[in-house]
Amino acid sequence: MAEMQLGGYAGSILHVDLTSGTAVKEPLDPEMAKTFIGGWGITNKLAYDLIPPDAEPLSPENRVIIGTGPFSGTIVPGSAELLVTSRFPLNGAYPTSCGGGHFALMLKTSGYDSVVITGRSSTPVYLRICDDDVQLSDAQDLWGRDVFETVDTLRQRYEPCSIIPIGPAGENLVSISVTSIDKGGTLGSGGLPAVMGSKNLKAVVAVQGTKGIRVANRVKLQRLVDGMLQRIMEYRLRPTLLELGFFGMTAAWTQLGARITDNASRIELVPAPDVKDMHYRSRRPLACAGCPTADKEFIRPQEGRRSGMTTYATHYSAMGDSSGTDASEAYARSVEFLDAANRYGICLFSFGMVREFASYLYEKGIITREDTGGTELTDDFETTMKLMRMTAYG
Amino acid sequence: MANAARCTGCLICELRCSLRFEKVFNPSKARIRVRRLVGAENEYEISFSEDCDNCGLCVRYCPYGALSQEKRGSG
Repeated sequence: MAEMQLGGYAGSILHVDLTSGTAVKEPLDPEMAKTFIGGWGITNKLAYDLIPPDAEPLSPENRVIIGTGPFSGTIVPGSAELLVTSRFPLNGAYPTSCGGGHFALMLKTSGYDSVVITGRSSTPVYLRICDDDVQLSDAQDLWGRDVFETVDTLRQRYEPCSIIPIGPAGENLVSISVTSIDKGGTLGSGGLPAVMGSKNLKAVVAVQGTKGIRVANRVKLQRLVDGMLQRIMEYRLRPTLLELGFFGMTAAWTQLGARITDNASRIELVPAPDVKDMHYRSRRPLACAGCPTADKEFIRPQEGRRSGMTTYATHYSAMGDSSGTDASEAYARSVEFLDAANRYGICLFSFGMVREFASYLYEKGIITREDTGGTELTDDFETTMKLMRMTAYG
Repeated sequence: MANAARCTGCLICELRCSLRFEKVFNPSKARIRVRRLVGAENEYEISFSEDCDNCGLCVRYCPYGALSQEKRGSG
């Protein structure tokens, strides 16, 4: 490979065709990199050039374009974000989704700035990238497994690595599917997992490679980052963020019990139990690469009905109907809800809105039990969990 | 010294270390090694290679207080 002159960039784009099972490495055009700075610009430029305008989201012609920027994999705070552009099935648009974790860092240690995936495999596969060793491996044993199980299995095979998996919702082409990189960094709300599922692509694994990420002026970069770090470390809300995550910012709102209701036309206040202390005792921060303010979290409830179970969250908030319950039960339900959404690979925000809309239609008699497969759409937790499962499995 | 219970897996220590020794970023080129424990959840093992010169750069830049410079060892 010719030596890339631009600082920060790894220097190559990897093109993978799932139909033919081939991979081609192309040098990153320095002019394009300069014109369309960073992951956002380059993935959008590649999408513009490579996704045919008439390509349906779930067709082999659609592309999954994974991109990083010149800061990715360095010490620049906030540079862990991975960018993915594709045509999404939820609305047929071409969004650029971003998510954290270690994928951008790991991909660049193999020498790639971007990966363009096209075609459709005839059987389930996963794509594994480690330096020049790019493999499509049989994923039939992984098909049907949830997001966390998939990550666990692939970590056993390839750690240190970073993984973009899909769960049952992606496999079943659900438009409100989402996934999480390395169990923590949510990615692709709007159905990126469905695009991967339509390609029979169960996961993309970036194994830690041997290439060094080089910057143009490392002394100057360190000086600039040191200045940023000083401000971040002294930020007055940093301790709260690390202790409670985003929940630290929304705890009062949650306690107020503000619930969106009546087809999102009204906010109803149903005072909810205070789960703040329980959450504080149950969580530990999880950071993306190079991040001094970890906003992801690992959750293991220390008490109550779901004591000892484990899950991950980007944004914890009380979910499900917690009225008439105590803090312990409300917390258990929230963690169960989060865990199910994580594992199926369903966007919990989209799901919450669709569920609310469905309940509204049901109340008005516009849809009936005939439309719901016999399920009565009551506003209770068990029904919510049942509907989520039905959403994932169709 | 490492207190792995405080580690969040940000890898800033490895990135700083690889930059100092090899002038590039890559965790595999660092003298400090943070390994995710496979089979556990969000648990890490921190160790130092033989050629670590105890410079303390990783301690200075760990934002989570997982490292301290008393003596060389593994946690």
